[in-house]
Amino acid sequence: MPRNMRVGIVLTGFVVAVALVAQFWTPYPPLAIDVIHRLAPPSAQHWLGTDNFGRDVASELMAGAATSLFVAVIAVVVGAGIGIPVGVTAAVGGGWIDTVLMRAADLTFAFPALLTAVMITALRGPGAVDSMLAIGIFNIPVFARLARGAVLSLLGRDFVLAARAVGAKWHTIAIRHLLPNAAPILLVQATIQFALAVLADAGLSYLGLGSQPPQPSWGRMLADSQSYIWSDPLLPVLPGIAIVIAVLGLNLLGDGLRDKLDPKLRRGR
Amino acid sequence: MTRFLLRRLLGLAVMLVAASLVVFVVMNVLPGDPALLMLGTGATKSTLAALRHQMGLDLPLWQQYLRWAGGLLEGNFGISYTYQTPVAGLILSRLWVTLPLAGMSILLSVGIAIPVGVIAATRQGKAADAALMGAAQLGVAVPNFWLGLLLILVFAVRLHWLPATGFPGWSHGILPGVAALLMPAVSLALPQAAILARVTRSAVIEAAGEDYVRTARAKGLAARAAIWGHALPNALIPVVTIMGFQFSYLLAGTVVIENVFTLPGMGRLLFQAIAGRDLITVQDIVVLLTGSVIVVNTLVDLTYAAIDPRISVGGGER
Repeated sequence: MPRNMRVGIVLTGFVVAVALVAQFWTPYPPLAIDVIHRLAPPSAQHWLGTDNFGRDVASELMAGAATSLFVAVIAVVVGAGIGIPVGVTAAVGGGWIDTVLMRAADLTFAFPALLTAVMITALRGPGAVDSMLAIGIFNIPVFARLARGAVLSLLGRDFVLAARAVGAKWHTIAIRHLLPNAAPILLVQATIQFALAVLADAGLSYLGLGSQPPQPSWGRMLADSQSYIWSDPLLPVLPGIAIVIAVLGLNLLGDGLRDKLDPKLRRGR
Repeated sequence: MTRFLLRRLLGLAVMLVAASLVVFVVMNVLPGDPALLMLGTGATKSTLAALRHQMGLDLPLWQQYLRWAGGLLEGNFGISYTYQTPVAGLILSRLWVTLPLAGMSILLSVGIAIPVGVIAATRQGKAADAALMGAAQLGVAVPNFWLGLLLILVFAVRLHWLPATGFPGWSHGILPGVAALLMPAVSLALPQAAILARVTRSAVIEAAGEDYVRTARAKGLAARAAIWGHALPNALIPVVTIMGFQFSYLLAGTVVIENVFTLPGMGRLLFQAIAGRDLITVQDIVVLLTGSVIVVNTLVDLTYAAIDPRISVGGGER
């Protein structure tokens, strides 16, 4: 296994483990306010110190990992769940179906997740559901294009022709023959979109457009810490490190998977 | 070539109309009455009706769309609910911050990514390659707004070299303006440069293996000249493609970064418009940003044709 991928598995595994543990245990309740010990430096009691409300930063970061991963999972599921059927339909349907669906995908792609979130938020007020939806919508054209390309390259292959020759229906061929063969490349993309979703969620919750207080989130921890940047420089540094670990781990995992599944794409190393 | 150009421009027009329709439908079909938001719930029925009439909200939706879209073409973006001034003027005054910021970011990003990518490609497998690509891998994972906070921490809080936030305006001279935009531009540029450097590296490595580079070397050209003069120009298509993709991230990025550094740009205007429920301003800015993404992607397509004449001859479709 390449070294990159091993590092990716370790980092991703660490973040997932922390998010899972946070469901049952954190050093302190992540929302417990302790004004007397506010803005405390790291110590034996508070490993990473406390924030402006005296909340334990380590506990908040742990709970934030769960929030982040949850938003990202839903966003990727929405994107893949709609995008893959659209892409397969476009490739198999061909002709005007293909043109219409792919133009629609191009159009969706012109709306960055942030703008979609902004529109939804302007009308409905901020919330975690809206940010998942916004990031998910942005993921749809990514998966649609990729699935279309993968299926197009498979359509002329013998096993597809054989299935058609024995009279299999198109939806059966898509599910039984096309998708399993396109799965590896889609899985790699899902890992990369997962990393992008973690970044997008952090950006949205930094702006106050994502998950709302008191739900702990890395982006909002960063936003809150900004007022204390002159006195407590550690506060804005820690949530960022958490984001970098999660995104770096997922990217390395995605790169490693791609190298393993498609030796042609293997980088020079 | 003319046919290719015409087809692209027609496609561009269709996409722009479609995008404006999507924005209009999303903003107007979802519940919420802008007139009610402006007047508050204490307003009498007759004042509400008068304002709705003045704002054109009593018209059928399709007429409202034509009024708005037609206005956009004439540079009439409607009146901001919050500021009670034309939105076009508000946006125009903010562009003086957002456009220089975006421009500086693109220049920085390309200026860093291409040399880094080429150097890594020429040292493929050596220590310099590993170090540069390791840094790029890390750079891709860094959120731009956090990078902004780190830069503030180092260059404003510790070293006092640059102002932490705010923008003095261009009336005080170019230098203070550029100084205020420097950290925001670097925050936007570095994560993008990281992606671009990786793409440049693999594209140059691929091009360097081609026959024409071997020919250039065989006729006695130095390795460096063969890479910069022959491999790099041929590696530009994937690089330009990624730059086109990055443009939409860059625009979204300016919205976040302008809020980190409290810069009076279009992103901050958008953010304030959301907070103030200034729906027409939100609608105008979103359609402008989306429209510029579509225009830039068309320009990227046309750039391919300029870089590689084979594309326009072959029809250029996918």
